[in-house]
Amino acid sequence: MVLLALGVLVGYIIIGTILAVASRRYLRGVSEKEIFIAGGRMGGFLSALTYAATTYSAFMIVGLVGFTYDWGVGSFGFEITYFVATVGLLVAFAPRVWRMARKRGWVSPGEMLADLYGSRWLAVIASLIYLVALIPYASAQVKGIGDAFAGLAGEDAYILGVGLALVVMLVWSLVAGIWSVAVTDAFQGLWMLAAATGLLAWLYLKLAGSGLGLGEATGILASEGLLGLEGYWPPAKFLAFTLPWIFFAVTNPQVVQRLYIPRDEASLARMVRWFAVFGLYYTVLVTLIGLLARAGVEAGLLPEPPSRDAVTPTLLSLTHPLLAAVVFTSIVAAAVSTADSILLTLASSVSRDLGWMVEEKRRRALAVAAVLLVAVAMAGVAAARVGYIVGLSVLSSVMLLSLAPATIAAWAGYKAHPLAAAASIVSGFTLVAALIVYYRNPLAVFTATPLGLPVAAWVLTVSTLIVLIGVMARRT
Amino acid sequence: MTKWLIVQIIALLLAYVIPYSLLRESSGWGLYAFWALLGMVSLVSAWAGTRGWGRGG
Repeated sequence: MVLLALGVLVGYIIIGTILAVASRRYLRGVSEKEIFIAGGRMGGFLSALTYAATTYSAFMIVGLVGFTYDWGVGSFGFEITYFVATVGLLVAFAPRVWRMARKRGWVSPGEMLADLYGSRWLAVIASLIYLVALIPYASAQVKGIGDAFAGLAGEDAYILGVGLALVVMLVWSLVAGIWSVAVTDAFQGLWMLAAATGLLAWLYLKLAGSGLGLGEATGILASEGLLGLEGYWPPAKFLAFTLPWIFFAVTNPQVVQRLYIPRDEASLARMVRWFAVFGLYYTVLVTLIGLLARAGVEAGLLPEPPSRDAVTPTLLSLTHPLLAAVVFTSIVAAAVSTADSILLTLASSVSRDLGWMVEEKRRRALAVAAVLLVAVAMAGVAAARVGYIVGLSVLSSVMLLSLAPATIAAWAGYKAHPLAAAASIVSGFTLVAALIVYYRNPLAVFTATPLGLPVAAWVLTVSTLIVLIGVMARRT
Repeated sequence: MTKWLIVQIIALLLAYVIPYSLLRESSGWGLYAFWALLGMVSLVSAWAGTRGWGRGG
């Protein structure tokens, strides 16, 4: 099994690297615009697959399968809520953002805020928040690859997994910038879909072959209360899980930047459509895997996993070794496709927003240095197994949430005073940081409900009020 | 595009409201099917709402 998994993984790396090198033919020069946003010339289908593979991390096939196994159908609800909100935000704002990016020459997401509000400091503030929020998130992806290796070949293999992730991320980012990242994302996204489809088909056939049909599975899940919300998903918990994610398309720079890359509005439309197809299909697949796995365990047909995150690995230990190898590689692919996209976006923030005082001709060297620096930071945090890293990564979207009101207001044409926009972004972020210090546990902040409301709701309320006051102040 | 945007907003609101009201006691696949239906509605309105992009619509 170990040799087969490593063989499939090596095959995946070789194919990915060939694709990354081949993507250099799309590259026209090595300007920052070309490296970070493909010169605004990417086709719609490729844009859709890089958007999807960047969005859907290893959380889906490991974390969400475990959530659905443990907490039932409400986990599907929180992911679908994210999906509906994201598609709605894209339909509402994507064309306007794409046109403005093209007209005003935005490359980094921070530049967008700086340009819309007329203050370079907003880009600096946003970039610092991106770094604080997303390095732990990307490091958790790298850690996930290390954990997968440790699970496969023993604890000593952890560092090998982290090192391999670092090399793959660097090579696939530096060979042709966003072109190589997008092409490998497309390959990895399709791999993720195929692997999850195979795993669900195997699980269904295994259970059905053992006499557990859909009717019996429904009875078991219903008797455990897993097809309802009572006991598992009180409203405050559902809000805590959904609020940070429904603004993901607005607050997470790696997906905001992807609105700049399609070559025309027809390609932008294709990006939104095919992302929607990918997202809905993948969400249904992984949640059905979680529910069926739970029915199988309750019926005594599958062994009980030791923890929520061990549901997928437990299933892999029972499947045909080839399917296990393909799904194992899909976990690596999901982590790499998210992490290298974040890596490139953070590098663009460092070189464009924090390094704006550096003269233009030295920016390219700064961009490459930023890629190396951020990649080493991600891998370093993962290799050191820094405590709280997973908790901080879960909290990343809450940390970024304060960017939502100022961004949406500016996209909709309601601009606040730049000071109000900055105050709105900083206040929400500071609130989260203060609560992390207070609770001394990032995961506790995620689920805490001060005065009956989740922290995400407070962040959103405070930041929105400040933006509203700023908009009114500017109009009077 | 506006009408499809309204559809998306209504779908998002229903994703919160219906599960905690009408489907609160759900014990079959009703809740899963409802959220899957909202996902389908969102998917269809994404295709319909982006149809005019690039053609001045």
